[in-house]
Amino acid sequence: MFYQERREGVYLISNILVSVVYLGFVLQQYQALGLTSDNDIRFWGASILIFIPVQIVTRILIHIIFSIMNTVVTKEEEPTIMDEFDKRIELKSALNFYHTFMFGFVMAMVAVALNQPTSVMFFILMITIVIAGFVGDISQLYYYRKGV
Amino acid sequence: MSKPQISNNIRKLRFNMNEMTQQELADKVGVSRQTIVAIEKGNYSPSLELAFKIALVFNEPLEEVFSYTP
Repeated sequence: MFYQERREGVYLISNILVSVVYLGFVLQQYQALGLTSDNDIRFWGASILIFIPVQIVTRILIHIIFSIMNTVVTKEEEPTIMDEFDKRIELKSALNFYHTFMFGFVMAMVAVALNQPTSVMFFILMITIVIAGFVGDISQLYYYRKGV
Repeated sequence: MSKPQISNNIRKLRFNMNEMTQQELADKVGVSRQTIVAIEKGNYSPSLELAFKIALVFNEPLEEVFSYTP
């Protein structure tokens, strides 16, 4: 297994763990606070906004830890170049991410159109961000293994 | 995934060039070893620029390294 495949595998697992823990925390908070529809929107907006830096910071930390562990275990240096194969995989994975996110966004709008509470719309959006992230990571792993 | 239409002789050419390793070829053309592996397996069709670089390393014309089956 190559460096890039190992890295994407680690990213995927860490993404699943962070997302599940954070979603669990948000749902627990939502139930504990017993929110009304007014501060409901503020709660979901803040939850989604906080989720983005949480994902970025954990991704940076995981990358640092993975790089150190990988170098120690395999004695293999981290590739310093991003070649055309990497760029093409990144582009195709980003496309899969955006398609998934757009589908979720439309579903969230459908929920609003069907007079569902705003919490349903925000919950769908949050789940969409998580699932789109999984799709992006899985796509990268798949393309590295099977080619593009 | 559709069957690759571009095949290559990189494995054979590396062997003929004092068993050049995939890493050596990757270093010469400025890509990672994984990219060379993907090209050799037919999992990735390189850009024209990279194809020419690979052909130059082996000092062969492009059509001796890559072939296209319509």
